[in-house]
Amino acid sequence: MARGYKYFEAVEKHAGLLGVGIAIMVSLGGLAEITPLFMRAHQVEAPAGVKPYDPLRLAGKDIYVREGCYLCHTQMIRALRAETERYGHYSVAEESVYDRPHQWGSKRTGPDLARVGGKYSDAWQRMHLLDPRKVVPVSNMPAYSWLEHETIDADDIMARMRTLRRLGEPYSDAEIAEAPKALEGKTALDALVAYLQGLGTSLPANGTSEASDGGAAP
Amino acid sequence: MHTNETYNDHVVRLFLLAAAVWGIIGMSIGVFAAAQLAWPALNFDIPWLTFSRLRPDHTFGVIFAFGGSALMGTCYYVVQRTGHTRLAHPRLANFTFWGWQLACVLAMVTMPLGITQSKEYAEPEWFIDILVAVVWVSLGIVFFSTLARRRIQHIYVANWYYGAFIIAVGLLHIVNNLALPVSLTKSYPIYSGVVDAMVQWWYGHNAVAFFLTAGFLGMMYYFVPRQAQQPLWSYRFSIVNFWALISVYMWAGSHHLMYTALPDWVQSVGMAFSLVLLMPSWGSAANGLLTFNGSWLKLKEDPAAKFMVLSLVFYAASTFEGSMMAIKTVNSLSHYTDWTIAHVHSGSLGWVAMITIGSLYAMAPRALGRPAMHSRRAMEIHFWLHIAGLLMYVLAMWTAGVTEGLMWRATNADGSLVYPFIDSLIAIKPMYWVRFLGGCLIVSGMVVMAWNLWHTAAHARKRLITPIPVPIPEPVAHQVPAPLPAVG
Amino acid sequence: MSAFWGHLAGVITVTLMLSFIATWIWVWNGRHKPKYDALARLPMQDEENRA
Repeated sequence: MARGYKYFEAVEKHAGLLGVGIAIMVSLGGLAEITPLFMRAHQVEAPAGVKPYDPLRLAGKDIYVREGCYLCHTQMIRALRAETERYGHYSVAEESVYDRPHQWGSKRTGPDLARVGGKYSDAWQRMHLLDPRKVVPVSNMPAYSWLEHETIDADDIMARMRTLRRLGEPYSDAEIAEAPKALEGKTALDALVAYLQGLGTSLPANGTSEASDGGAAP
Repeated sequence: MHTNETYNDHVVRLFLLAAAVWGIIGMSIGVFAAAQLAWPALNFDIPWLTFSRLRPDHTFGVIFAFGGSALMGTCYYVVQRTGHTRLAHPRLANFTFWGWQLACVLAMVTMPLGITQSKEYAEPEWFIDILVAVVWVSLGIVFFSTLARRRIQHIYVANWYYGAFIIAVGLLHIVNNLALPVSLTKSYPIYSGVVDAMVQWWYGHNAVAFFLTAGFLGMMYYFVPRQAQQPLWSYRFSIVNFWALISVYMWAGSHHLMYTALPDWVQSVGMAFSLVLLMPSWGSAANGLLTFNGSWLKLKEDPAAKFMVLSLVFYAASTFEGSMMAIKTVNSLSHYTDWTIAHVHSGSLGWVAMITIGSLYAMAPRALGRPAMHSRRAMEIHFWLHIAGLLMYVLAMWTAGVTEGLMWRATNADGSLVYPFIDSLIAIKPMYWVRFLGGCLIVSGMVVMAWNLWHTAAHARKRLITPIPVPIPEPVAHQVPAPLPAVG
Repeated sequence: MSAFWGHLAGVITVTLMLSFIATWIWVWNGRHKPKYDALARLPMQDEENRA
């Protein structure tokens, strides 16, 4: 016993040992929880309906990121009755395989957007983004009026697609080469609306049975 | 040989000054952001003044710029005094100050311009992340080298917490920010979807654990006994709490992702460990509070002690609240609502800010070579402004959160929803006004503190370059704990 | 979760539990008392040295 004490006491007297002990203890939790997820994530294949973002929607997603939309809107419908009633079928892991980073969010100052795609017209979305209080008088969402006049740099989006391909997204050379055509004349507002209108529309086939109840209150 | 050696308080004072400045900046941005939630026209249609762009500035400003500066400053102060030794690598220590300030300024400027990774509490882009990592490694080198040359055999418990804070935050920062740059201003993380969410909340949760808890507990374990002028209530209890806290905290991160697309077993593990976590959290709070046992009179005469005692009360309260919110059924109501905001602020304004302010008031006169703070009355005013603002803030957000949670889940007999989403926003609007007022009170308190510090530093300002020497005690015969032979 | 991870999680939990109990026994061993009492006074003594 006495020898054991001596070993433990060493931790208190040697800064290096203390550091190693701390490093081991803090690593355990992360390793035990994240390693299995990593292994699983390699098995999770994108289902047929989920495709990497096309150039316009990719640009839109990055504008969503840039403007910080995730700070007030979640994209994660929890498996709770009231939530599926309001927002539609609960979110599944496969839906966000191409989200780098994920946009699940943590706060709903505004409603969840995981399945907002197709819920409103393009015209409504545009008007709402430029001046929310025109369509929802009591809304406290900021007006993003500058999006209307901002053009999209096609070279930048092509560089982004190439980087994403290096990370594993299945973009073909042809898809990247066609980006400038798809982005011609498009504004940041067009891109963001395209992104929003695509949200939640590609639910994997095995989950569509309940997803058709799109009549949730806005 | 060592009789003329003094503690290196130069870099400590710089950090102290930076903490006061960043505190005011970070909290003012918070108040402005809060005002925008109540009155959305206040962004004046200017991109970088818009809530969604400023919110990361508020969180980064208060957590990393204010909290980080305070932690590094007190860390250097404490490690010298509990080891009876001068700071190792003074130049590297100065680099950690300037490097950290540069990283903070860069982050605070780039984020409102839309240069962000959109990972909560880790928004700055890759080039700032690299700078932060370099500064962090330097901090570790200075800290552990100073420990290595200490002249007291046992490492005092406050340093354990600072050590855990440095190691764990370094690990979290690097793992969570792994990304592939597209250009200087844009990168994509190597993780996607569910794995990214798990890594992000492992980081987000443990940034709270090791930045906002372990680091500040280090502060507490030194400044509370000193301010109370009482020995630490139970030193051995602090050892048990330390190992329990650092090993349990890391497991609990998944409670941020209850009922999501995260695998069920990870959610359950997170919930179980969140409940276990309550024990070491309350253990530390009790240890701090009981240290005041026998000197409660201090509360009457010493505002710094008042800040410390209240901070421990809020620490106990918000860790209890946190564990409760990690229970799945509670979480289903509280998550995504302003209840989370209430919880975060009772922890950050109650625990983190108050222990920091208390420690600053305790440390400032000593580091500035004055017998006391310039004005005790100003400290009192600060205390009451802070408490009043804090209570207004937390009660308003708590009410708002419960209101939202209940309205979102309310259903009619036929299963349809009672309220459209917008009704919940209308219901909590008044709470947003109250929150704004509470924030104003807290910032006013910080301004009072800055004024007080400025006048306390009046004499020291003239001699900012030449530190006020505080001699390092010589070992005495039969000293317990045993001294180590001097190095260098 | 596969059986392997289940077993590993079990082993880790038991190890954590045992080291937790060992830490309690170790720190409450009486022979450390004088040392801990001295350490508990360390922050106060800084004050005395100054005065």
